[in-house]
Formats: sequence, structure tokens, C-alpha cells
Amino acid sequence: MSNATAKVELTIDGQSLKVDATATVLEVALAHQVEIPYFCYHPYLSVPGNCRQCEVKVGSRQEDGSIRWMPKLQVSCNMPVAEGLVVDTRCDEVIQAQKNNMEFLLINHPLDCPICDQVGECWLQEHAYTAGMGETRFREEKVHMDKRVDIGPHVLLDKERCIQCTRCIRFCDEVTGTSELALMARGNHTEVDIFPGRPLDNPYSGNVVDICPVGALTLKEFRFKSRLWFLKTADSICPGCARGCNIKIWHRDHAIARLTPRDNPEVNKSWMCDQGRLLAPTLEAGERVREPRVEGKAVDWQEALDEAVSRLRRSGRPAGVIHPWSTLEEGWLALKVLAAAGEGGRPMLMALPAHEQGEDDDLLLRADKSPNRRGLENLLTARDAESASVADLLDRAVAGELSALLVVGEDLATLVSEEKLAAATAAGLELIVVASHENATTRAGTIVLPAGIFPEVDGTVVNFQGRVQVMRAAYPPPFLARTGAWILTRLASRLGDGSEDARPRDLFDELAAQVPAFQGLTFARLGAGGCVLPGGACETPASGSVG
Amino acid sequence: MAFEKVLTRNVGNPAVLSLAGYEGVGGYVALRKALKEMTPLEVTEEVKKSGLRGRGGAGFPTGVKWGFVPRGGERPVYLINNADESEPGTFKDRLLMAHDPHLVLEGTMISAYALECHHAFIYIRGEYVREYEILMAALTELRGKGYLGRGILGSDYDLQVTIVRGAGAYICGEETALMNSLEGRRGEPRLKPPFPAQRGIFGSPTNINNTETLANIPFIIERGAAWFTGIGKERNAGPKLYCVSGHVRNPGVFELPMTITCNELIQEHAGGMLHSGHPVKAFIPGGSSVPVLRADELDVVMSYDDLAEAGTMLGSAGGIVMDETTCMVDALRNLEAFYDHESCGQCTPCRQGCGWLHSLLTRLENGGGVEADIPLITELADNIQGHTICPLGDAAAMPARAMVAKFEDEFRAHVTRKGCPLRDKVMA
Repeated sequence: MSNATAKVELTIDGQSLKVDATATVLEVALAHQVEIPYFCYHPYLSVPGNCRQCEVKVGSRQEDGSIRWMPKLQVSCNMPVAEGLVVDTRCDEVIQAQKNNMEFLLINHPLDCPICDQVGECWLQEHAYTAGMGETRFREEKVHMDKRVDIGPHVLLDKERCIQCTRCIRFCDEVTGTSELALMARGNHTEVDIFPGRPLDNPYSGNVVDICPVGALTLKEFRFKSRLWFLKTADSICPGCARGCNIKIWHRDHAIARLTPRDNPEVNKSWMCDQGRLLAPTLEAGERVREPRVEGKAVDWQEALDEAVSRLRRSGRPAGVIHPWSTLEEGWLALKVLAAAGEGGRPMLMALPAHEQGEDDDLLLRADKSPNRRGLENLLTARDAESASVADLLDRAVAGELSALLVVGEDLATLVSEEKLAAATAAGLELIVVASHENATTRAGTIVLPAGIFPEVDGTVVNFQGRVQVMRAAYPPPFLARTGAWILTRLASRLGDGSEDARPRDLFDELAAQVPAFQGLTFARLGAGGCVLPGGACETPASGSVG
Repeated sequence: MAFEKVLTRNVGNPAVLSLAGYEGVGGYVALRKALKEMTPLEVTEEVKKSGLRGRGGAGFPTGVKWGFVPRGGERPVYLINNADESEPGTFKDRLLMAHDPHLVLEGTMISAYALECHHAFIYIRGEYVREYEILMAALTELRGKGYLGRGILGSDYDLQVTIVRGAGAYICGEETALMNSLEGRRGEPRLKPPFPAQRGIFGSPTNINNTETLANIPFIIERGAAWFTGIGKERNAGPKLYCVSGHVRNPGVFELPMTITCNELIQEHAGGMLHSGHPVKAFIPGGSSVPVLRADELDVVMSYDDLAEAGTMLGSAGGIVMDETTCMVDALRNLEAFYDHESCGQCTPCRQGCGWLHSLLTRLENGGGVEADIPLITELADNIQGHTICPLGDAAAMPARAMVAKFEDEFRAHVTRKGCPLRDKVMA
């Protein structure tokens, strides 16, 4: 019986390696920078061994030191490692087999690269460069199939470009369990398709586009939008829910072109939901706050910040409302601002409204539609902030107990009625609003400070599992807007707490040093995959590991 | 010692279709002997000693194969009788099922006992409608008379047999594609490892044998391994069913020892060539998948080992005889049309290669060939064979390579004369 910790020693291209006894040759090769081309293999899906591109020469070392080679090349994706196994991935026989297989893959492929969206990330194209014949020996008529087949709300299928690797089918069978896709017909007429009247319409359908190694599956929302090489990328975290899927932001001209998942085995593997993938239109809708305003009048930042500080100070005990989309740094700074502006002796008053919708599912989606509730809750607890609802705070304003409210990211009118908000401001409540978009709250705001929103924000967030992850800005906020951290650092600094020059990473290190839940963490330690909150602060999430 | 026909002894005797009739000629004696006098391991040992080799095509020793199946594990063991006989030129299992269904069932039951299997399946080719009905009637009678179910024939051995019909795919004769089909999945072969003996149907250890193979078991058990090894020659023991079709006077199935030569089979048993004056040109000895033999190569003995030495295979012993009016390009085109149609389309070399060969040969036969096509046929065969998930790719490649190697002049003539020289001749 194989055992997870047992090790075996094998040789790949002369390199001797001690590896997990349950691994396959391809897994070992990939982990050790030995390049073996493949199409159908995917680390999170079953192994069908159908593309045949990853064949290698395999043998076993005999007692006399000689190597007994197997008579046929073996697909490395399904070749278990074994003690004394010898693998050759570069001999002429293997290279020739790769060329021959590429020839087969290309004979019925339309070779329509100039009009194909996959260009730049097409595996067929890539392997054709390294193992293509360059000239065709195929004199026959190609097999023709349907193109531009609408198979679901987000995905379009070109059957001629498909190489039948079945990654999309296995995704729907094994990950979502929805099985919308299947192979139909046989031989070189084999095609991927949906069943009549059963579209590819599950909450994760966009992933089939990511894992399609060729241009057969394309995302309607990205088709013909841009050639890849015109796009810049930033590694970030999806703000769409408490999962915090690791994503790559592809952007151009300060706009999101597409969002794709980044592999994180602990959080989202290499998947993301369609809601997150198609977040851009929601973010880009509406009117941005273009410049700082004091009582409706555009002012420069200096004046707006000074005015905000003076009003906060004048109130004696300002309260705050913070949207759980805010980063840890924004939350930390908002608390510092409230503390520094208040007279002391009484706890800070802070509302952290819930944004929930639907239910948790068994894959990625969380009902909590905010990326950092858990992180902000930890900060509030650490600073002994008194929590209150927005309605509560507005009631206090009407009762004359509250005269200034720092609003970060929230539109209060989505939480309470506009009448209630109007009553509070009529009673003299001054709203210091840090906001990205114009809304009822900015219209009612005494001071409005234009802020950035994902993907313009650098910072850290804590997902529902207690994993601290780094969000990276793709581009700066538009117009005169600045990031929330930039704005709040300056407010805190003017109130005598900290320097204006603190960067988000400095702020993270500062809060990590002061908040017990983050003990021992530093920004530098977070790395690409993030860190789980240490010690007791990290409860094991109810749903266990990611599906 | 004269050769005694056993597998086909009841052919033409409709009495054996009933249980009483079959028992009247000594049926189910072997099953009783196995259940009462032998342990499952002893049955397996006897089969091992007999040297019986698989009659489905690969010729792997049956007893050794049984030895791979783990016993006493947590999961049940399954046995499948592969009656999806689909190899072009092959119709021997059909004869057994149509004429001696109880022999097929008895062989299956003894083998199931040997493997300590309590549920055996017979997967029968979908087109074999009459054979299915005959076999089903025999099975129904067995069930009704206590030969199946709990404690069969007074022993403490339980066994169910289920007949499953295929849906018309050649590929479902490949053992792992058959398993997928049996489970209700798309009929495409599985990647190995795991092998069926480790994980076959329903995630359990599974053994699968050809129908003719299992039909030998009752005789081995009743008469002993020594009787079996006394027939034929060493490593090629026991009676064998040979099919002959094509340009012969008396096509059919012939039970013979594996000492017969191709020429003897064609001339003596199959009645000689169909038209006098049209001698044999080529002979495919083992079903469409094996390399062809030329007329001058037909003195070879039709045993596993002799045919292998001659560069071909006994395969399913489906002999196809072609006389000199046959165009080899057209014959190969016809074969490749079959493999193109029957490729499951799962893996790249077979999916693309079979279609390419078919198109190329059609063009060549119709006069559109170029010089480069001829070496290309062989290269494509090389690029398919050994690179696919299952042997269908090999089966498409082997005849192509052999046809070109042995009849290259005829292929060239199609290029130089821009068409089929034989068709011209026949038309004229």
C-alpha cells in the first residue's frame, strides 16, 4: 500500500530526486522545472491521459546499473513514480513523439489564430512553436464543425478549435457536479456540447474558459475586447465575498478588461465564481466622486482634510461607519481617527454593517458579500470599539448625542431610509464621507472625500477562513480621488497620530504588532498565498477546506 | 489421435437449447464437479496448467490472468464474459451462443466459481439479437431451476448472471470500454493503470474473458488439463475456432487444433477459392486488425506463436480470404473506414490518425494520390501505434503498415496510373 509520507528516488533527465511515492511523473516534473508539454492534465481534475502530448521514455534501473526501458513511451500524467524509475523527457524519441502528436492535433484545427481570442495564451500555439512541424502533410479536407455555438449565458463554443481534452467536461462533472457538458459523436467528429435545452449555466461556468487550453471556449464578456499583450496584470483578491478568491486583474487604460482566478490551494484552488469574474460592470457603474467637497463646494485636498479634522474634533465624540469592503489598513486608520478626534474616556462608536445575500455554497460562494468582515471585527474588538447599527447612530444624532459621523465606503441610504438620514442631518449631524461613488450619503455629506475602490486599492483583507491576503492595486483612483488609506493617514496625522507617509505595508505591520489576533504576522510574511491568523484567532472554518 | 470437436459438438443439435437436452449430452457435469470436488483455487490451477490462452485476440494465458484478481478483499469480484464479438471477419462466439448457449453459461459459471465471483455479466454485441434471445432463454431456464441464485446445485456457492446488451460500438469489445458501457457510461476505454483486476466495474476487481475462452473451461475441468495440452502444440494448446470469410466456397467456423496451416484452412476446410482461375492473393489470418499475409506466406501454422513469428497475429482467428481481383488499396481503405468510424475519439493519435488514413486512402484509390502518400501511410501508422490509450489505434495501424509493405507496387500503381488499376481491369 502506498503511504502519503513514503518517498522514492527516481531520475528525470539525469537529475536524481526524492519524491512522494504517490506522485506521478508529470507532477514531479512540474514541481522540479522539468518541462513536459501537456493539454488535458489539470492539477485539480482527474487524469484522462487523452491528449497524449506528455509522453516520456520510462525505464527502471537494474541491479547491474543498466536501465531497462519500457517498450513504449508512457504518458507521464498517469505514470506513477517508483523506486529506481528513470525518465527521459528530452531524447529524440520523445521529441519526435511530441511533433507527431502536434501534427495530429493540428490537422483538423482551423488554424485561425489571426481571429482567435486565445492568441497569447493558447497552448496549441505554444507547443506548435516548440514541437510543430512547420509544414503540413495533410492534403485532405478538414472536418468541419459548428462555430460560435452559444452554450450558456457567458460561454461561447467553437467546436473546430476544440482538441477534445475534456478539461471543461471534467470541471462540470467533478468540481461543480452539474455535468452540463459531454463528448458527443465519435472519431474525428467527436465534439464537446451541451444537452438540448440544458445550457452551461452554473455559478462557476467561466472557469471552463480559463482551463480551455485552446480558443474553443471563450467568455462572451471578454471576446474581442483586447489582445492579451495590451493588458497589464495585478495579483489581487476578489472583493466579491468573504471567500477572498485569489485573482489576477487584467487591465488596460485604467479599466478592468477581465478577472481570472489565481491558484491558491487553500482558498479557491484555481477557480472563481461568475459573480466575481463579472464584477467589473458593477464597480464601473455609477458616477465617481471627482473632487473633495466641503458643504457642496469643490475644494482642494488640503482644505478638505483640514476642514474634516476640525469638524471631527469639534464634535467631541465622533462615531464611524465602515464598509466591510474596506481593507485592514483603512479600518485601522478609521479607528485611529476616531480615537484621536474623541475626547477620550469613552469607547469609540463604530458600525460595521453586514452585507449578506443568498447562502454559502459547498464550493466557493459565501453569503457574506464582503471581503474583510472578519478582519475588521478583529480590529474593532482589539480597540474596544462599541459596536452600533447605523440606525442606532442616526437615532443618537436626532437625540443630540452625536454630531459627527465618519462614513467610510458605505451608502447609509442603502441601510436606512433616506428620511431617517435626512432627519439626522437636519438635527445637525455632520457627515464626513470617504466615498468612491456619488450616492445619497455623498449628497448629504458635509465633507466628501473622493476615494478609490477595488481595483485601485492596496491593502490586506481577512477571508472567512481567517486568512490574511494581500490586495494589490491595478491602477490609481481616477480624477482627484485618493485611496482610503491615503485619506485616512492624513486625517490621523493631522489629529496627531502617525505620519502622513505611512504606506499600507507599514500600517499592516503596525496593526499586527498591536492587535493580538495578528500577532507575529508582518506584511513581508504574507507572501503570495496569504497567512492564516495565528493562534486562537483562527477558528477552523465550518466548511473545512475549499472544495 | 484424431482431433475431437468439443466446442462445436452440439452445433446443429437444437435439443441442447434446453437444459434437459444439454444435460442429456453431458452438460453441467463439469460445473457439478467443480462445485463438489474442487476449491476455486484448484479450478484456477487446473486452468493455469492447461495453458489456455485468451481467444479474444491477445492470447494472454487465462489462468495467469485469473491469478491477478485479488481474493477475499473488501470489494466483490466481478467476471465479465466478453461476447461483444465485433472484429471484422469474426463470428465464432456467435456460433457458440446460437447453438450451445448452455456451454457459454456453464463456462461462465465455473469461471465465476474459480474467481470467487458472485455476480457475472455476459456483455453481448447489440446486433446479436437472435443470439441474445437464445442465451436469455437458457439463462431464464437456469434461474427457474435453481442453477443460479443462492446455493447453486446444493453447494454453498451463490451466483447471479446478468446479460447486458451492447449498443453497436466496436470499441465496446475493448475490455475497459466495455466496462464503461456496462456501467452506463460513454463507451470509451479507460486509462491504465488501474488495471481491471485492480479496479474494473463498479470500482471492484474485475476479470474479463472472451466467450470462446470461457467455453473451453467446462472441458478442461471435466477432462483435465492434460487432455487439453494434448491437443495442438506446446503453448498453443486446445481446440480453436477458426472463422473463414471472403473468396472461398465454404465460408464458416471450423474447430481445429492449432497445427493447421493457413493454406489447409482455406483449401481443405473452407472449400478452396470461390472462383477457379482466381487464386488467393492475400489472407488476413486473425480479424481485420492483424497484418496481412501474401499468397506465398500461407504455409504458416495458425497458432499464436507461429503467426507471431510470421509477423502477424492469430488475433480472433477471423480469417479473411481475398483473391486476385481484390484491390489492396481499396481493401485497406475499407478497413480504415471501419476504424475511422469506430474510433471513440478520445485520444489524439487514434481520433485524428484513423480519419487521416481513411481520407488519404480514399483519395489514393480514387486517383488523387501522390508519391509522398505511400511512405506517409506507414509513418501515420507508426505515429498511431503505441501512442494510444487502447489497442484500437494499433489495430488500425498494423494492417496499414503490412498492406503497404507487402503490396507496395500496387499502391504505387494507384499513383502513377491516377486510379485503381484493378477497377479498370474489372470494368474492361
